[in-house]
Formats: sequence, C-alpha cells, structure tokens
Amino acid sequence: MKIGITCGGIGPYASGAFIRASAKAAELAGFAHYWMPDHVVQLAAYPASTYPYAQGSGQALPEQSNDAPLQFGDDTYANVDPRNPLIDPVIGMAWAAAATSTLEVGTNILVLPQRNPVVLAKELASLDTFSSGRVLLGVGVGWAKEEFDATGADFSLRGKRTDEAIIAMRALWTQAVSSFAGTFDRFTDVYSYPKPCRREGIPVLIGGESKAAMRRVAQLGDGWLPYNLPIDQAGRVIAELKAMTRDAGRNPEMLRIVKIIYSNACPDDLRRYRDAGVTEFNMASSGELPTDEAGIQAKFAEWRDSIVGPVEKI
Amino acid sequence: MRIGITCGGIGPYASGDFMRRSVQAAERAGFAHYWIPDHVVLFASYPESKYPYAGGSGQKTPDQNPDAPLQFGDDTFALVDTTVAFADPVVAMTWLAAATTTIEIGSNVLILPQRHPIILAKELATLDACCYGRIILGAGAGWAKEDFDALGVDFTKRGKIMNEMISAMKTLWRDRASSFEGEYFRFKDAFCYPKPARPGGVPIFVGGESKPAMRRVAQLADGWLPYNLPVENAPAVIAELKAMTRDAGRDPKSLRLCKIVYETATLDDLKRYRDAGITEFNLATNGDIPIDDAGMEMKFRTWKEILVDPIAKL
Repeated sequence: MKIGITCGGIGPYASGAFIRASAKAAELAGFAHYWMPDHVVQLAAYPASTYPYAQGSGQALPEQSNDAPLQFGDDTYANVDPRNPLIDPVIGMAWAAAATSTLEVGTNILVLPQRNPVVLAKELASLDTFSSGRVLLGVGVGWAKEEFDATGADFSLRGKRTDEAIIAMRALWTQAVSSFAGTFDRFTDVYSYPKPCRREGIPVLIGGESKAAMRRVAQLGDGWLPYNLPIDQAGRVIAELKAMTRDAGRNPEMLRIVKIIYSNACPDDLRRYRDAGVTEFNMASSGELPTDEAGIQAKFAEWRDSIVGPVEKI
Repeated sequence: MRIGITCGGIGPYASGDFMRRSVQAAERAGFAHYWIPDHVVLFASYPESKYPYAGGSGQKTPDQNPDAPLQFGDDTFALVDTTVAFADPVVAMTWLAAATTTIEIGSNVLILPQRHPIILAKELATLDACCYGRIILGAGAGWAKEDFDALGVDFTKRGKIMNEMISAMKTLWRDRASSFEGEYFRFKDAFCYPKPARPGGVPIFVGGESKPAMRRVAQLADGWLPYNLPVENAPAVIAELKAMTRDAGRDPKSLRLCKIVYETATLDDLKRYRDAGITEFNLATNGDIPIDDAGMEMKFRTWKEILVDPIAKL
C-alpha cells in the first residue's frame, strides 16, 4: 500500500524552504502524497464553534514536542499561537509540486465553501497541468464559524455550497464549454482552460466522518479522507459508506479511502485498516521533524525504513 | 533602468514547462520582472463589454506571428481561440517563483474584484514569504462584464470593491490582528500569517489609464502599470498622476511606474519615457518566443543585447 505525509504548512513548517526540502525528501523516501492544511485566517478564540477533531485519529497519540504547532491530543483547536504562519494550501501545493516530479500534492483539507469555485477550479487545473496530473483536492465543509464570518461566507449554508462547488468545478474541468445553474453559482457557456490532465478532472476527496460527509462521498466524492476512525469501527463504517455509494448508483470500488495515521501506527493496525477497505494512508506529523535540510533528510530516511517500506509490503 | 517581460500564460506559452524555462532564461538575460495575465474564464464573444486595449500601447504595433494567441493590433479582445489554455496567474506566479531566485514575479493584470481579498491576501503572502519578497500584485478593475457575471461579482461595483480590497489586503499584510469594516468586506481581529516578506506587504501596482485608475494609484497603490500611454502624452499624464498623489498626502517619488513597451521600442522613446517619470519597463511579447531550448535561448540573448543591456545604461 501507499502512504503520504502531512508535515508542512504550519509554524516552523510553513516556510518555503521547509516545504521544498520536505517534499523532495518525502518523494525520495517513497511517500506517495504530500498534504497541506487550510485556515485562511485564524482567530484568538472560537467561542461560536465546536472543534471536531478533539478525539484525534482514533489511535494512540504519538509523542509530540511541547512546541509542535498542532497538538493532536488537545480538545480545542490547538494551533499554539494564532500568529503561527499557516500557509495557503493552493500555493503550498504549487510550491511542493514545483520541487518534485512524481509525488502527488493534495489538500487535507481545504475549506471549500470559503472559496469561489470558478477561481479555485482554474487555479487547480493550471497546477494540474504544470505538475503533469499530480493534484488532489481534499475538501471539507469547515467547522470554524468565526472564519466563515471573516470571509463573508454563510456558515449555515456550508454543506450546500460545498455540494454545488464540487459539481460546478467538475463542469469547468470536464466540459468543453461549461455551464452550471445552482443556487449560489451559475454560469453559461464559459471557457475554462487549461483542463486538468486527467479527463475526469482533479480527484475530489472529502474529509469528515459525519453522516453528511459520508453522503457527500457516496454521491459526489472520488474518495474519503477519514481522520477519527478507530480501527475497530473501520470495517462497519466503510461497509456503510460503500453501501451508500452503491445506493447512489456509483461504484464504491473506485473510491480512494485515505486514512490519517500517526507515525507510531504499527503494521498490524494498518493491515486491519486495509482489510476494512482503506486504500492508502496519510501520516500526520507535527513537531517530529527538524527544520534544517540535513535533519529533514535524516528523519525521512528513518521513516522510509520504519514506515514507508513496511506499508509497501502490506 | 530595468525592464521586465510578459511572455507566458496563454496558449502554447501557458505550459508549466515553457514558463519554467522562459523565466529562467529571462532571469539569466537580466530581465527584472516576469508578468502573467489573467482571465479566470473566457467567452466566445463579449457583446456587453468594450475592450479597452484597442489602442495598443500607444506605440507602433510590432510584427506578430499570425497565430500568436493574442494579437496586439486587434480592436476587440482577440484571443484567436477561446479554448487555448489561459493559466491562473497566482498559481503561475508560484511556479515561476519556485524556478528562480532573484527576478520579480508579477501579475499584469489580475482582475482584483473577481477574487476574495482574504483568500488572495493569504495566497500572495504565502508566496511572497516562500520566495523572499519577489511578488508584485498588478491589479485591474476588469472590463469584461461577462466574466464578472460568471463569477457572481457585480460588474457595476467593481471599482468600489477593488478599493476596499486593496485596503483590506494591506491590513491583513501589515497588522498583527487585522480588522476591516467596509461595505463589501468586514472582519475583526483576524490573524493572517505568514506575512509577506516585504515590509509593508506585497506591492500593488494598478493598471489602466482612466481617471479612476489614476486616482486609485494616487490614493492606494504602490505603482502604476500604464499600457496605452503614447510617449508624447507621458509627461503631462505622469505630472498629473504625481500631483494627484501629492494631493492624496502621499509621496509620488515612492511610486513605481512600469510602462508596457513592445520589442520595437527605440532607445530614444525609452529615454523620453524615463524623462517623463517612468521608472521601469515591461516588454509585452506574444508569439515571438520559440518553444525549443536553443531557439528560446537565442531569442533571450538577442533581447539582452538590444533591450536589457542598453536599458540598464539609461
């Protein structure tokens, strides 16, 4: 199986130099994809919102240094300091793609209803052609109402907007002359070129474990990005997702199901995820990597042996 | 003086490979900046809009290959084929910056009201931080009503939206916690990090020769990107712009005035532009550059001899 990595984009890991060096090292170590997070702006506090990732990934937490910018175990959104840089994911992906040649670059996840789908479709199609078809769009509906308020997007309509945006972007990516008539987005006979390298457009993978997110995967997604999915529940939940996908008239076997794990995951757990239907992994890392080039290369060489190699044999 | 170049982004010049090689050739030849155009979408025709560039640059139109994707002499928006690739400028700028180390990378022009100020501010700040302060935002209000309709932006409000966006983005680039209270955009205590590498933020150059465009330069911008400015009109127009800038309580000497010229520009004309107050040039080309390595290198060597080096001595 294949495994990707989420390690760039926040705090000391947000610099262009780090992203370039770590993406190159990840490619060299055999990681399959490189994922970028998204918070367009941050607030000092989120009184109107519930942080949905308080449970972590459903596995044992890895050891993290106290100054890791993102603490996996915290029960509130835990960017240690809102002044920590947090890169724009489209630019981060483009920067990582420019430094590599085979690694897939993705968002995990981009908050879709905060963006204009016509602009985003063009950005990603451009990047997909530059990178010879290596872009993955991981999207979520978002949870931080305060950030929606700042961007002027209606938090209560975020699900509907996400659905429309996916359909609108696919129209722009796959139709020679594109039209779409929705509640929020509408356009007639527009030309949006370049098209992505892949005829069917850029794969849209959906994050979140709620029923609404799973319905979205079943009806519209090219894949799923589960985070909080404990191993003993994976079989049942993925079976349900596949049934929902079949009910939507789509083939569940074409879904890419990319499970987030930590660096302490053991091969036996990963096998159980595979047996449950997970197709690949994404290793979330914060606070484990040094920021100097030699240190980055050494850590990735270690992960090649301890993680990438064993996962490839699964 | 210094000169930049506009040569990438459309048709055969929109590929990642062409842009990477041409920006590296431009940097080696001593060009100061590399500029990218913007149309998020295109239409087969523009019955509701008036193309503002029918007058060209105010100089003699150069000989152009008939299949150059953009014909400078045409009196309507003259993309030969609306299905040619037209790269997104922000992603293209990222690709270009990743391939170079000293050349400035800009948009000329990005249609500002079609983007969201927070998203764009975050994208450009991320990019500017990645490339150590080489980004210029060349921005225009746009002329194609059909494009605005497709993006869901009110064409009649584009000037006001643009003014608010410039102020909002500067807040996000400058302030520790950013607040803005406008008619179209409002946010309070939003943290937007990384900040751009350049103190004061990414320089914003405004394009267009209308009175509103010049007022915008005088009141809000860091520079001006005149296109249609015949050499005999330049002294009067620039004197007026500087007076408007002083009236706005700002120092006109801090403005960068970057005139678009064609390859056919004579050194004498360029001197007259300099004497009128132009601080740098941008060579607009389309259809002139061979795609192959050797041809491209030869073309840039010629430009170095006939333009870049002589202009450096001006």
